[in-house]
Amino acid sequence: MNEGIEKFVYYSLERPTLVAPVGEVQSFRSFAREVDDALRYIFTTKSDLLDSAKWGFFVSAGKPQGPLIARKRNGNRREVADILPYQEAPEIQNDYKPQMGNARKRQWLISGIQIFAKNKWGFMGAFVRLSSSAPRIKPIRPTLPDHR
Amino acid sequence: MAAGARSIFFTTSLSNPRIAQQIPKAVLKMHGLDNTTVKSLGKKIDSDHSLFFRLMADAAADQGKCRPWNASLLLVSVEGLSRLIANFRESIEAKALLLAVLSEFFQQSCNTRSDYFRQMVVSDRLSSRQISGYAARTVHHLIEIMRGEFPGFVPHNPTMGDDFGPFNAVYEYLQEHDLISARFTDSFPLFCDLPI
Repeated sequence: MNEGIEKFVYYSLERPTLVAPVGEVQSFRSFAREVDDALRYIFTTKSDLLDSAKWGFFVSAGKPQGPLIARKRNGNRREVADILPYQEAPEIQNDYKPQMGNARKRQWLISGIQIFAKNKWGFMGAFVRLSSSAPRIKPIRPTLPDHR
Repeated sequence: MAAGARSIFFTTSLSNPRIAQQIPKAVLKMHGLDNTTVKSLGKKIDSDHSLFFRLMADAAADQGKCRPWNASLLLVSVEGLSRLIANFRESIEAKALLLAVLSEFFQQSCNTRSDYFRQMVVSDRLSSRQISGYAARTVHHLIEIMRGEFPGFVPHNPTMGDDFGPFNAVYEYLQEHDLISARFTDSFPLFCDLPI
């Protein structure tokens, strides 16, 4: 992850890397909720696996929203995963601030180009932002005995 | 090359025929795409962004603007290596080599071994829940990313030692070929790339 006070990365559900989709994902909202639900369960039952990690799911505001799927969790309490349109999320705007500044400086952001346009498919169509303030876990490095 | 290319995605649609028209015929021929119509080529590169990046790299190399990507290999003869290792009790160099190889192997496989254990734990925890295999695999993948074992995508940021390199290169290419227009670049950022 990025080095700094808060380290963060994006992982796209619509353009996944390393893990090829097995079968077609019908709804990225439903899929995001399924993943979110499993992550929350692991965080509750095996918190040391995730350390201080946080995550948030985002979708493009231009995509069909679909009905929110309400679930019963913790007895009768109904709860739905909070999936935000990234175009309206201040943290995503903040993440892209230096890159947008660079593009403006080099006059690539011409008038008419929309920043974080809606109706967008692709990498940012559905993604999760993973962040952590904890130091990155380092692998154990064995030392060589001095044979000389 | 394939791994690097698969780590970069355009966030906008590549099916615009104006993009396909910019690809030199010689480069399309290299990939057996010279008989493909502009429309179907657009569909093809939109569904496989890594192909588009390969075409861009080949087009740049074809025009002599850059050297083609290459890799260096170190070849060691098996006979010479066998003789050296067979004599490891008497040879300090052979002992040093064996220790270095074993140490490197241990380091390189350390995360893999830990990954197996974490995968087992995740599978065990999720076995009692109704979850699809792909979702469970994604959960495990995200945990590895959170732990810093796998890389992830981040926007460019110079405070992180970033020089906007790939971002600037693509936009400069688009500008050079007069492709920076509101019709094509209908959104920003145009693409995301994987930091190394």
